[in-house]
Amino acid sequence: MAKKEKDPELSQQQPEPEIPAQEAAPDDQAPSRPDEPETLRAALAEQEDKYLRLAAEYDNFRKRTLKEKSSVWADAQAEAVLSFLPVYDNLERALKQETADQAYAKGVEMIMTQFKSVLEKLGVEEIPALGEPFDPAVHNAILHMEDESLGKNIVTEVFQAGFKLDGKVIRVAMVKVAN
Amino acid sequence: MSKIIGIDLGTTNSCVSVMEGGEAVVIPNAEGNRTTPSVVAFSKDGERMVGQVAKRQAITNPDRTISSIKREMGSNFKVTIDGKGYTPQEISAMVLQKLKADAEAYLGATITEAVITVPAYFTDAQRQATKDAGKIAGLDVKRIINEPTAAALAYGVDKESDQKIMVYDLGGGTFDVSVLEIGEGVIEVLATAGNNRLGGDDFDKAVMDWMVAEFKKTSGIDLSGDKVAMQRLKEAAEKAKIELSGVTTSAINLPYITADATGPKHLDLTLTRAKFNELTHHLVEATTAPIRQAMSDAGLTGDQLSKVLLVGGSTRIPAVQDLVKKLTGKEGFKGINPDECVAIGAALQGGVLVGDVKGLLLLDVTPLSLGIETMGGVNTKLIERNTTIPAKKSQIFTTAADNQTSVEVHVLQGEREMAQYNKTLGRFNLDGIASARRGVPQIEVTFDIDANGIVNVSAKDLGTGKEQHITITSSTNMSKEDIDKAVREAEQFAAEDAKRKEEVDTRNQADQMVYQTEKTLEDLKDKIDPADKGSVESALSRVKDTLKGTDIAAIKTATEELTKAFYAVSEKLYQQQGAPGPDSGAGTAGGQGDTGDPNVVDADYEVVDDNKD
Repeated sequence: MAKKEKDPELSQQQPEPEIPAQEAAPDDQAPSRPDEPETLRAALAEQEDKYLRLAAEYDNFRKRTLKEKSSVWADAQAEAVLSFLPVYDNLERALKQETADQAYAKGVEMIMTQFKSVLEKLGVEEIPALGEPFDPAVHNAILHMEDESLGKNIVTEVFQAGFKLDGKVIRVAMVKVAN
Repeated sequence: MSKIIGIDLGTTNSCVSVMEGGEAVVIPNAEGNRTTPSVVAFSKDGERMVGQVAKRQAITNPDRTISSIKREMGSNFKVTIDGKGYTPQEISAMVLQKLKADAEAYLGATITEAVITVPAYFTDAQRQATKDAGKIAGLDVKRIINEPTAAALAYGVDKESDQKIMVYDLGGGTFDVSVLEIGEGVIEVLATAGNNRLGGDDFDKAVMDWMVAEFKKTSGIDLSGDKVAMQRLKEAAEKAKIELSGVTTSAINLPYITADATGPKHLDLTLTRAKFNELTHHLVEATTAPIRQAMSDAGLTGDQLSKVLLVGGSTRIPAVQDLVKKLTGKEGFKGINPDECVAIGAALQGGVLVGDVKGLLLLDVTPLSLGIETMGGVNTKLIERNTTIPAKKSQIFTTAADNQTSVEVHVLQGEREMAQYNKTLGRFNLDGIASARRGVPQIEVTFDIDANGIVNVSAKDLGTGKEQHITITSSTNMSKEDIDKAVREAEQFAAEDAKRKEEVDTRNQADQMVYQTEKTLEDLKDKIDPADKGSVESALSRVKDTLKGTDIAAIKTATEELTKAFYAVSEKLYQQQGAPGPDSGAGTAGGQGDTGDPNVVDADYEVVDDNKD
């Protein structure tokens, strides 16, 4: 089916006198004063500048929107993972508990392994913290202590793990720093 | 290409905004957050940190981490780091520098100018210090404006009639209430009051204290000494506070919060909004005195205020909103993000200074759709309502009948599906169209609306090059009521209109089918088996009959039957012409073709032989 056949059709008309085309009223008057060209030139320059500004702004906006679009998926994933992290934290705490019920403990261990594998498959990585030099970009220090035997500005304890997705920090690690 | 950014340089958090395309946009920082903590720190190696990063290392470096420097602006306070003294302006400048750099990265352009906001009660010395801080950061501060004024600008109150308003600003660490008078485009501060050590952080603490107390009751353990547990409690308290602004109960669930000889201990509490209000009642009440103070200083009673604007994240708390209503009789305005509206107002001011806001004419839109009438009395829209103008749109149309040599372009304005229910803006004809079968000519109809709302409609015959057009000047002259009415009616009658349109479409389709069938029968009259021709013709006359009436369902069915009959015949035809395509040959139709009319094949040969003679 030719494309045209789908076009909406205009009904046939009784032959009527044509409506004469109405020209837009000419709005440029011949300059009648000697300084007129100057004012016009200035106005034109201003308009051109405005146009270029707008064109540039639009271009930047377009580029930025493209950049934002391409990161939307990763950002959405990061947010979703972030909301699950407290569950991970509590599983970690549960595992730290001593218990006589070996079978139960094993069960919790297996849940944790499963959780970790889910995170791995999503591309989520734990931020190295324990023993690492303290880096406020990825660590949040909530405790500080002085200890001669340890290095300078070293993370000595991790209270809550930090995670990265695609190089972007989802959550910083909660740590204790020495010196 | 200088844009003037608007900066809300807050005590605990700062925010940056800029005008883009006529609208104020909040600029996220390098970490992706829309606000930046106003915290500066010097690492042990002398490296400078600003924002969230500085906050995170505060506890390892308390002497070299500076927060809430705004409280010292305009004073002789100095911070000494590595033997060097820094004034509050210099520290603030470091925050501003980061905000400037992040804005430049986001916009892809250099920023040299800014509008910065300050509390309405700031003295000259404090304002000058803020300006200086800007200068040190490499920013030419075009204007220092009051925070409540910026909020008023964000809400567009300056564009309304003269009035007196209150701005209630409860942020992370400070509370400010101001009474403003708006008149003749000028905003004047009549009175200010507040408490600069009252904010959202206090609400979090009240919840934390309750959690510690409850836990002590049930377990006998005092968590307040356990830094790690308190950190978890702090985060949970803030989360619960925020949740309770939306729902009436929040579950606080912190397993393994601590452990003792008997094993692990869990914190499992439910906080209701009612309990939260009780715990924070004294904080909310503390805002009453400043409100009364400001009103009395301005010499006003509640009914003399036209509106109350809510600024600052903590105004999201229902109890706060209720108090405002109780004391002023007015429902607080909260349409704009309370964390961002001051920065937005500053950006708007920046836009006005640069000529942006008035220059761009706050782009106009077409209030109602524009279209033309097409076959069957349908309104075919070319430009949708609320399209930003200037705008241009073209579409190709064609003729409805054979040998139609002129078309009427009936320009319509409105949302209804059927032409007759819309407003006629104008009509004109284009003639001299070359004679042809219906559907063959190509008529390009173009709608061109300029910035003033003047509509030029043209029709051009792409075959002959002939063109006609008209100019309509009154398309945007409808009053708001008329526009709303037109939109409302379109919604009201949407179902009815859709049905009518469907009727028209069905008729048009039937019409089209009839035309096509008749033409094909005419063209191929020798090659069609009379029996087939008969079945097509009877289906054809059935369709024509139904078209005379108004039974749409009948028209549809008749059209479908005609289509089936027609396709059956046309398939046969293609078989017999020895069509190479195996696609139709695979079906039963192919089988029929083979056993069908061998004579036809022979006849072809014969015709050729005859011609040779």
